Formats: sequence, structure tokens, C-alpha cells
Amino acid sequence: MPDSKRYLRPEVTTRIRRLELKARRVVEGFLSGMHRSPYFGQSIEFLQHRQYTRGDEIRHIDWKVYARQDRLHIKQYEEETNLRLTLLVDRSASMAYGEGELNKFDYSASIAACLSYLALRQKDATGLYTFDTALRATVPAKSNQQQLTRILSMLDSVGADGRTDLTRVAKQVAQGIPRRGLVLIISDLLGVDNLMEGLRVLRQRGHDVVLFHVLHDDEMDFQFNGATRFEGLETEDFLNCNPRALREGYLEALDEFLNSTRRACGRLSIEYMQVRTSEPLDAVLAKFLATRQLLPNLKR
Amino acid sequence: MPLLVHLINMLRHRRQRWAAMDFLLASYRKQKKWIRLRQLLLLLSRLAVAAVLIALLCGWTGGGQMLGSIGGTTTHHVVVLDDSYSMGDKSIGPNGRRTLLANSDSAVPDINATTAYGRSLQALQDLTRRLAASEGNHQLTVMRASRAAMATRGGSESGDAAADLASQTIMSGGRLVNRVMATTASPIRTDLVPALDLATELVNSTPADAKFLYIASDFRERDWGNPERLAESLRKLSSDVTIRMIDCAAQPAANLAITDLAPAQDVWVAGVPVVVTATIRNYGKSEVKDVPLTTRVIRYSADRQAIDPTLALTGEIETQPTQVIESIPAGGEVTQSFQVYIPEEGTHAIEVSLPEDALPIDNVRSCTLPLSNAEKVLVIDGSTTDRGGYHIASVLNPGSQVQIGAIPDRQPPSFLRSATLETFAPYRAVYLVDLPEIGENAADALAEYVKRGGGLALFIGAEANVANYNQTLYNPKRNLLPGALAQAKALEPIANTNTADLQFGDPSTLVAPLTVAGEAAFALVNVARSWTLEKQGLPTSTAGDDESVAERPRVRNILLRRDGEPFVTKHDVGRGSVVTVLSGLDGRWTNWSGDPTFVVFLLQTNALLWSGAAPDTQRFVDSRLVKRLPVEQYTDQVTYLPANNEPPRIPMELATKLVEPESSADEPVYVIDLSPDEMVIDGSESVAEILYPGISEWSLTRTDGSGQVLPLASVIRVGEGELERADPAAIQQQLLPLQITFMKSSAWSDDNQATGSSTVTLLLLALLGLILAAEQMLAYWASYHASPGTTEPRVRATLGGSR
Repeated sequence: MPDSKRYLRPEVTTRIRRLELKARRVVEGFLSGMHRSPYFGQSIEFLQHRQYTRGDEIRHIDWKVYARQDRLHIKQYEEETNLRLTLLVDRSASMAYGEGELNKFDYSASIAACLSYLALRQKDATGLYTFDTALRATVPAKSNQQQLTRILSMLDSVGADGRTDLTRVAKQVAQGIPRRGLVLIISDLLGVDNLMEGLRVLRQRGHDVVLFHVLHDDEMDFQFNGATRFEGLETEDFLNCNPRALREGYLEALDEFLNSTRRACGRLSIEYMQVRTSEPLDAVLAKFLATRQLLPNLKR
Repeated sequence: MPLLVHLINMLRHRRQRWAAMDFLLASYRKQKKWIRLRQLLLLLSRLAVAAVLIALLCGWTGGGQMLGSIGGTTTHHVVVLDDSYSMGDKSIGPNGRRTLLANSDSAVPDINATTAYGRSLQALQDLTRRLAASEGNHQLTVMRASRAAMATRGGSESGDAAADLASQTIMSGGRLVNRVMATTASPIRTDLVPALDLATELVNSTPADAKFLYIASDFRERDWGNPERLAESLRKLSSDVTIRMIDCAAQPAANLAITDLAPAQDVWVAGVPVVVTATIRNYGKSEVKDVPLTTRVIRYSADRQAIDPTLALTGEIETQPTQVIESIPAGGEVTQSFQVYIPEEGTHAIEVSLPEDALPIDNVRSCTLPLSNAEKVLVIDGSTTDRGGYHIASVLNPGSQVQIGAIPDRQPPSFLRSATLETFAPYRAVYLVDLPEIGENAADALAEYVKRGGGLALFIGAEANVANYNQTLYNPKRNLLPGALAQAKALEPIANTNTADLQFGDPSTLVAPLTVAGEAAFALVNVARSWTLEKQGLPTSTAGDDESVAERPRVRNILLRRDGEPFVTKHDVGRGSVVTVLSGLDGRWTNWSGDPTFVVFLLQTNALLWSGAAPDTQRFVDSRLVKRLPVEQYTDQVTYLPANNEPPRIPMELATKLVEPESSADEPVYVIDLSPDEMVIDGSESVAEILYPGISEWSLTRTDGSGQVLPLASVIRVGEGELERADPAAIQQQLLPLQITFMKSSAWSDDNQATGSSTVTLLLLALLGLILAAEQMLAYWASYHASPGTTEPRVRATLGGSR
């Protein structure tokens, strides 16, 4: 049995239970649910009238309009569909940084577990992928009762290792998901080349993409002192240096990277969330969900 | 070391696994040059810290010199060190004595406190250190008074030869004066005039921007009470010379000195007791009582054939019973006599000593005692009765067990006909009694005999041929008569019988034992007639023991007739002495030969005549060291073992010089002749050993291969024992218009230590502070120091933790 409490803490799930996860955009779904679907069908909520064309079902003709205007119109209703949530969790070696609760992979896994729980609770299909240079472990999207257990088992069994190739992984994911849905990437984006190319592929497939950029405080602030030998987690690079002397340059390079990433996400209409592992997880999720509720519903 | 620490620090890295290497490497590539520059600056600052710390701990000595060499002024410092033996004064003054008593557990204060010379050396060292630490180029000249005096005596007029250091540039104070610091007060008696003359010559001939003359002395009253001659030397200095006097002596304590030690004039024969006299002088201001006088007799028997450097003395030491001198008045002196009995032939040594006091060097004095076997004396009586010869022989060899060391050899007047120097050589003394005439050959031989140390006693009787005597003996080349004989003059009888016919004349050892009894001693002596001397004879001395060798020797009238005419005279010719009695001993003119006083007179005369050929019993430490060794008896292997109370002694192999005889009467000899004065000029290192007072030893090798050890007593010249101080104010007054600064040595040292270190040390401390601050800044900049609270990454609650 997976240790569900490792990534899915009761106190966290309690606080966010009342929040509903809603897709910012209309997603496709087989099941009727709370999410607006681009597919029109029978439903309670009227959307619009459309002139009848050959092939339309006769049962959808609004006879009252025909009586008044002597023209055939059909009534269209907005169909509510189930969300298809796909979680991509980075398990490369750089995610192993941090001790205990500040470990980036553990923190990312916690985010994935919480969001899986929320999605499954509202009957949305949820799947999980872990990746480094390729997809490693896969839990196909389903919405049944055992899905959460499978996801948590997978997260529990995965360790951080290897380098990162998000572009390749994104293409694989884009090809592997048959319908449009919400793709949520959780990664530190370190060692990632051509990040935008991979994200662009996902967007081109019509997926709603959210990027959780997880970083450790050390990486954000670089508050090191004393002579230190830095050894790369994903590469063989090393550097003997006095960190204080390099801090300013490091922070400049990091800021530049973060800004470019943020700008690129904006251009691709990708929601970008920068997260520190020192931030309380419930606050991060609450902020994420609240943000998504406030965002306008955009149609494709 | 700082370089090593720096490199080790650079290698001691904390390992950190890191994800964002790209940003780190980018930053490094961007700032690589600056980082290396910071590291270099940090390394340099640490090296500078280490260098300044070392300079502080070891004492900064090169800075002033470095600054001076860049363009500073040149200053010439001349230090004249008074190292006459009074500088060995251990007096510590009333304050010092109280301090010592207060601090000492024992009731006896530590008399081995530093000497005045030690304080002068300390002053020199302090000065050198200060100069080494101060700015500018400083040249140092150090001159000891004893070396200057000896060099001047040796004929040197150059200060370079006498100076221990001549215009040496001060680079490192300790090393420069090390050799001088190892010296001690010399055993020489001298004032500072020669040293000041030579120092003046050096100061005036050395170009410098500023000149200082330091005189470190004890400023005794005997030298500085009337410093006219010293002032004359100082006035020769150029006007730009600053003179500073460093007073190194304390208020003097009492001082006793042995001013003389010598065996009494006698025959000095083995087995015959010899009287030795020691004179002790009290230089203190109060009477001293119960002064113990310790005597040691060092016997060098024939079986002592080799020196033993591991011992203080090779001879057998025999300590005599200590004599106690009841009292010596302040400023007075006492002569103490004692007998020494040594049954063995050879040269032995005697050493007397007083308890240690303020000036230890004059508490010990020594002499040698050359003892021979009984030797022959020649007695020739020209009278028909042979009465005089009989009396003399009887006195000199009374028979029985009484020995005086002389063996009379009575010969007829014909013995003189073919006499030569070799004829008289076996005899220690010659007695010519009532001879009518003396031939030219005999007179020549006698004159040469006396000049070489022989003794001649002339008893001129009634039959003497005046013309012959005056021609042969009064000849200016021979000088064997005290004056030309005039005529026999009768002594008129007088009614007052209380006045003896013979009176004491000039004080002399010949009749010294009789002076106790006064003129009454001669009460039974009758003189009817005796020869008189012409008035224009040899010059007569009035008083004093010193008799200068002039063209005609001085004559001392030992006994006078009642009418003032001389009766017994004594004069010296060469090394020998001539005693002339202007009357025969045949009883025709006087009955003196039958009087007991004649026995005393004759024994004393015999001792006098005998001693003419006796070797010296001591030498002054600064006099020439001479040894003459007959080639027939000795080889040229000679070793000298200087006096040293702290064995092991270091033998000196001395070179000998073969001297061929000038006349057939002489024989070739090996001569060792060392002059301390010349050794100083030549820069010989062993001059100090030659100057040691005390008993040194010769190690000789005879031609038959056997060895012989001879002691040699070296003594200091008397006079420096007077420790009374001169008044500095009076000295300054008398040296006017010279401007002189007086300082006590203690104040001088304090002043030097304070000023010598303060400026440079403060500068160094300030520099060290600046460099340390810079190092800390650089180290912080280069991230070697952690900020509080930021060393470790923050740890916060992440899941469910409260903010």
C-alpha cells in the first residue's frame, strides 16, 4: 500500500476540499460534469439559436421560433463535460536537491498528489507521468476510485535521477493524450533546453498548460558562505569558489532565466506559477485554484 | 607560511551538490578576473600581516637603516668605554644595597651585582638598539680605553687599530656589538686621555652630518678631579660634536687592595726561609679591623715537568695559615710580613688574597720565589792578616746547622791577575777586602760582572793605592767606585761619648734591622780614619728608592761618619750593585768587623749583592712578556699557559727567536718577547689572555727531553683601587666651555629603551591594524567569513507549517 499520507496530507486536503477545480478553458470530456464542454448537446443551460441545416436532429428544432418567424432554428445547449487532468512531474536528478520537506521532488510530488485528489473527487479523469529525459512511469488518466491509489503508489516508488529533456517528453505526452485537457507540469526547469518548444507542442494540441516552477530557497537566494565546491547534480561540472563572490552574477543569471521563462509562458498563454519549496503547500494550491476561478473563461 | 595557509584554505572546500550549475558557471565566467584579483589581494594582505608581526616580535632593526639609505642623514656615534680595572667595581650604591637586602633571603647582599663596566656595556647595547631602530644612517665607533692606551704606548696614532668598531654602519645592533659585549673590564690602569685622543682623531676624520661622543666611565676623583689633560683632548673635537657622559658607577663601597707582594731582598736559597712582605691598603673612608689575609704557596718541584691545563695551577698548592691584620686605618696601609719555607730548588709562586669586596681584582696579588741551591761567593783579602776575609767568611758561613745559602770561597789577591768574566760568573757576590791595587783586566771583568747582576763589596783599607783605585774602578766606563777617592781622613775624637762614630745615612735595607735600635746600635763601634770621596763624585741621592740610570749612577750614603763623611755607600751599576766601605777590616782604622752590627750589615749586604742577579718576581700585566732560554739547556718548544682561575686553561704555543751572542762571554738564547701594546696594534685576539693577572705558567722543554714548568706572576698596577667619585657638576665646570651632558647609566638605558622602541613600534602597530582590517574586508569580500544566521540554508515548515 502506498503511503498516502506522505504526499497527501489530511490537513492540506481539508483546507482545499471546498475549492473546486475548474478548468480555465473548456475541456473535452466524456462525462457530464462541472466543466463547460465545447461539445453542444442536451443540457439544462441554453446557449444559443442556430438556423437549421440539413442533418440536424429534428428534436432540437425550436418550434416556438418557427411559429413566430416561420423559420427553422434549432436550440443549442452548453454541455458540461469532465476534466482530463494530466500531471507531468519532473524526476530528474536536479529535483533531488533539498533536505527533508524542502526537497524539490518531494514537494512536487505533494503538489501532484493534492491536485490528483481534488480532480478525482469531482470525478475528473486524472493521469500522471514522471519524466527525465523521457517518460518513465505512467498512470493513464481515469476517474475511478482506485486511480488515486495508483497515482500515489507511483509517486512513492519514483526517485529522482537522470537529466531532463522536457521537449521530448512534451511531444510524447502531446501524442499520448487523445483529447484536450489540462496538462500540469511540475519541474524546476533546470537543465532544460528548448523549453518553449515542448510547451508549444502541448498548446498546439489545445491543451490547457500550467507550469509549476519549483525552486529551493538556496537556488533563489544563493546564501552560501565559505569556500565551497559545487558539484552538478545532473552534470559532471564542478566549481571551487567563494559563493559570496559569485552571488551577484548568479542571481542576475537566475533572474534573467525566470523572466524569460515567464515571458515565454505569457506568449503561449501558459499559466506560470513559481513556487519555493519553503512556501506552505496549502497556500500554494489555494492561490493556484483561486487564480484559476478568477480568470475569464475563454473559448477557443 | 601565510602562503601555505592561504593555499590550504583554498583547498579546504565544503562540498555542495548543486542543481543550478549553469547560472553558477555563467557567473563565474563573468567574474573570473575579479575573483582572482581578490584572492591575490587577500594573499598579499596575509603575507603583510605575517611580515609585520615578525617585525614586531623580533624587534624592528632594519627600518631606520632602510629609510636612511634612501636619503637620510649620516650620524657618527663614538663610544669611549672606560675599561680600566676600577670599572670592575661591584658597588651598587646605598639604594641598590637596600633593595638587595630587602629582596634577599640571606643577610648577605649579593655582591656579584653587575659591575660598572657591565653597566657601560648595557648602555652601549641600548644605544645600538635605539640607533638601529631609528631613522637615518648611523655609524658606530667603539673604543676601549685600555686598548687605546696600549696602542698609543705601542706607537700607533691611528684610532682604527685601537677601536673595537671603527665607523661601522649599524645594521643589526645585537650582532654588531656582540664582540664588545663579551669583554670584561681590563686589568689595565689607565685614564681616558689616549682613548679620547684617538677618538678625536676618528671623529674629526670621519665625515658625518652629526657627530656624538659618548664617554662611559666611572668618573673617579683621581682621573677627573683635575681633568686638565682630558679637557685638552676634548677641546680638540670639532665644535659640532655633541658630548655625552654616561656615569656607570655607583656610590663606592669600601675597598681593600693588596698593593705590593714581594719576597724580601735576600739570598733566596732552597731550604732557607724567605721573608715575604705584603702591603695592604685601605681605600675606604673608615677603618677596617680583623682583615684576614690568606696565603697560598704554590710549589713547583722538579717532578712537575708538564703543565696541566685542567687545573687552575699545575704546582702543588699549599695553603698557609691565615693571618689577621688587626686594623687598617682609613686611607692607610699596612705591611704584613711572613716567612715562606720551601726546601726545593726552583721557581715557586706565592699568592695572597683578601676577602672579596667592591673591587675584586686588587684583592689578589702574587709573586714568584726563585730559589737556588747554596752558591759561592768570592772573598779576596789583600791584607797580610787576612782578618777581614776571615770575618766575612765567618759571617756568611757560620757553620753548625745555620745556613744562609752562601758558600764563601776565599782566594788570594793573585786570583785577580788573570780574572775574566768567566772567572766571576760562578759567584753570586765578590768581596774585595783591603786590596792595595786592582788591575785593569780584573776591573773590566768586575764591571761587566756587576752590570750583569753581580754584586761587589769593596772594603778599601789603609794600603789601598788611591791612584790605582781611581784609575781602574772610578773609570767612567766602570763606575765601580761611588766617587774618586781623596784621602784618608781621621775622625777627631770628641768629648761627648754619647754620639757614636757611625750615623745612619739614607734609608736602606742594608741597615734596616739596626734602625730599630737607633744610633745606639753603633755605640761600641770606633772609627779612627777612613777614606773620603771627592765632592765632585757621583751624584748623591737625597731620598727615595728609585734610582734612575744616568751617565753616572746615583750613590746612596748608607752610613756616615759622625762628621758627615760617607763611610758606607751603595750604588747600582747595570743590574748589579756595589757596596763600598771606605775602611778596611784589618782593625787598623775601625773595630767594626768585630761588632755585632757588622754581622747584620754583612748579611744584608750579601742579600743585596745576591739579589742583583735574581730574576724578577713579578711583571705588570701590560708589560712585555719576555723569556730568554739558553740554547744549550732548552729547545725552542715553549708553551704559555695564561693565568685563569676557571680551568680549563688554553695553552698558547709561542714562537721563539734565536738570538746569537754579541760577545764570546754570552751564549745563544731563544727569546720569547710578547708586547701587549704591539699585539693590540696587530689586532691579535690573544692579547686579553696575556693581560690576565695572576699566576701563569711556562712549559719548557730541556734539551735532554725533560720538561720544566715555571710560574710567572703577573700583577696589576696600583692606583685604580681608589674609588672615590668626582662631582659631575665640578667636571662640567672644569670642562667649560665644552657643553657636556651627564647621565646615569640607568637613566640612559631607560631613555633608550623608551625612545628606541616607541616610534617604530607604534608605527608597526598602526600598520598591523590597517593591514588586519584590510585583510578582514578582503576575506569577507572573498567569502571566507559567514554572516550570522546565513551559514546554513533556512529550514522552514513547508507542509502545513504556520508562516
